[in-house]
Formats: sequence, structure tokens, C-alpha cells
Amino acid sequence: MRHAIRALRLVIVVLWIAVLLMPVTVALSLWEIFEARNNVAIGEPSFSMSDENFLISVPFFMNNTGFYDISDLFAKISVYSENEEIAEFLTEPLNIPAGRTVESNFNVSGSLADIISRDSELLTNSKDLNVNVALHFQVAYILAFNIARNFTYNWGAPFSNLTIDYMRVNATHISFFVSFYNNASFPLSGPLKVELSNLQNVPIGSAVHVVNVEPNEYYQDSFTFEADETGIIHLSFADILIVERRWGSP
Amino acid sequence: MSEAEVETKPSRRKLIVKVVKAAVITTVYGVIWFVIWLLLSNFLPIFQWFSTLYWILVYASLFFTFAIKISEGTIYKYILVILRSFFIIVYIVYSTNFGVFTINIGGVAFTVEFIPLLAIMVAINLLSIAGGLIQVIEFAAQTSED
Repeated sequence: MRHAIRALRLVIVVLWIAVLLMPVTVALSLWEIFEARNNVAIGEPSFSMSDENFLISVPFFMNNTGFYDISDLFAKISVYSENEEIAEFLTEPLNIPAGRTVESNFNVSGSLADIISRDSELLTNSKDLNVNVALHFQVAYILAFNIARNFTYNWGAPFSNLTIDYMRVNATHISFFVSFYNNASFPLSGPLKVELSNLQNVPIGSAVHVVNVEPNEYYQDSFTFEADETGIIHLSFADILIVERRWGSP
Repeated sequence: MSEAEVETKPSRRKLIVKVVKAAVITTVYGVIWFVIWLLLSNFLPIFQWFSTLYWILVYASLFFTFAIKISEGTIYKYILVILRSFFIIVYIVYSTNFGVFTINIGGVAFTVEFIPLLAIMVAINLLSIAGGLIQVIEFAAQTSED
């Protein structure tokens, strides 16, 4: 019995030493990585857009000079509009074994239509969005670290100050004048579609203009249709409905 | 002087010696805990946020040190060792928020998750409880033999 108790005591002491040393060695390992400034580098983010999808790419470099592997390294970006989450992005997790260098990109992609479907005001109203950026990683597969920061992102609406005016050209034709200001940080290039329907929502005409509006640029164009006195106009961009409103006498 | 008075005098003296010994050892531990507090709060200003948790640990540790020392040679010593391990399990689970620890500094939230490490700490204390139970059994067996 005494031998068993002694062995148990020894195991307990060894385990306590190991458990208490673990955070110390992890801290030393992280210190080894971060004390030299050129061991970790984050490059300039790039933003690209194709159709209704966007891609944000952030170059990332890390030289793991620590004693432990770094695993599950990823970034999580959550976007909130008036305290309601409208988008969440996760980058692909990276693994950086001890003594290795990794050069990669944190890529975040998403559908603009998906975000706008959660807050349609984003198309026409500029507003402050709350963004939470969190960096997560695991050291030695035991200790996980999460560094998060909140900041405000000033979202510029791509269809700011949107106006749709109409004017009867003759007895059978009506012209619609569409104008807006691209307040967004990205260019708008794609099909701008105007569809008309009567009050029973039966389509009566449509026209598409391919637009290319740079950031902080004003856009104005007219669309002419053969139409009745009244109806509903639908304005959409790359299959995303921007506005739907009635025109003509009630 | 009656026979009973002769018997109680040495046992009283023994008890006084035990209490003094326990008090001295507890005081030494108390000084060590206080020095640790002074060092940590001077070198790590963030540590002052956890002063309540730290002092709970200190008072509990000093109580168990005193009680275990005073109950030396009795079965209560092992029961107190088991109780101390239970307390440590509850304390580490509660004070570390189940192994997820967050600090906000200058608008940046730093979170450390050490759930596997916490599980090992709990396992060590369970081993300690098992050890205490074995000692209780051994003590009970020895006293019945005597």
C-alpha cells in the first residue's frame, strides 16, 4: 500500500510540474517567434469583385522559430449592422510546424447579394458597420489563443442618392432617368436592368445597360419604354434588386 | 494529583506544541503567498484584477495547511487532503471560467483556451483524492490492528 501511495505521489508531482511548465514553455515559444519583427508579416489587403462575388485577400507570412507547432491559424470576420450579424467570414486554417516558414494568403470571399439580402439598405444608404476581426491559433495543440478587435467600418452605398424620374416622351413612350452616386470603395461594373410591369405585376418591358461606375463617380442614364400611364418599375444590378416603386398617376 | 490529571497534562502539552507548529508553518506559508502577491502585482499590473481570486486561494490554502498540520496522526488529516483536492478542482474550474480566460486591453480582447490543460489539472486532483482514499483505508486498517 505504501509503495502505491508513494508511486501515486510521484505521478502527481511529475504531472503538476509538466502542467505548470507547459504555459511557461508556450510563452517562451511565442516570445521566440514574436521577438524578431520579421518572423510575422501581414501584407496589404487586396479587394476584387467579379459578378456579385467579392474576394478580399491578405498576404500572410510566418516563420515559426518557436518550439511548438502552430495549428488551426485562421481569421474570422463578423460584420454587424445595427447589432444584427449580416455576414461572417472564415479563412482556411493554416498549420505551421515548428521550424518551418509559411507564406500564404488569408482569403475571404462572399456574395454581395447574400449580404444585401440581410440588409437591403446597404445598397442605397451609407452607414457605419461594426466589424469584429478575430485571429485564432493553437500552440502545441493544447493552448488556443484568440485575439479579437472591434472597429467601425464606414460602408459607402454603391447606389447612393438614387433617383428615378420619369417623363412621357409621346402618347405611347415613357423615359425613365436613373441616377446615382457610387459611394462604395469598389467599382460597379455589370448589367443595370430596368423592368416595367403593370399594376397586376405582368411584365410590360425591360432594358439592360452595362455600366462601369468607378468609386466616387456619378452615373446618369435614361431608359425608354412603350408603356401605359401607370405601373411598377424594378431596378436591379447583376440580378440584385435595388428598388421597386410605382410610377404614374394613382 | 489524580491519575486522570497526570494523563491529560502531556496530551495538552502535545496539543499546544501541535498548534504552535501548525501556526508557525501556516505563517511561513502566508509570508510566501504575500511575497508572491507583492512580486506579481508589482511586475504584472494586470494581476491586481484577480486579487479576490488570489486571496480566496491564499485563505483556503492557509486554512488547509493549518488544519492538516493540526490533525497530523489522525484520520481527519486524510479527509482534509481529500477536501483540499475537491476545493482545488472547484476553484480552478470556476476561476478559469472552465478553461476560457479573456482579458480586454485597449479595446483588444485576448482569449486563452486551455481546456485540455484544465482537464489534466482536474485529473491530477482526482488522483490526489484517490491517494487520500487509499491513505484513509490504510490508516483505518492500521488503527484496527493496533
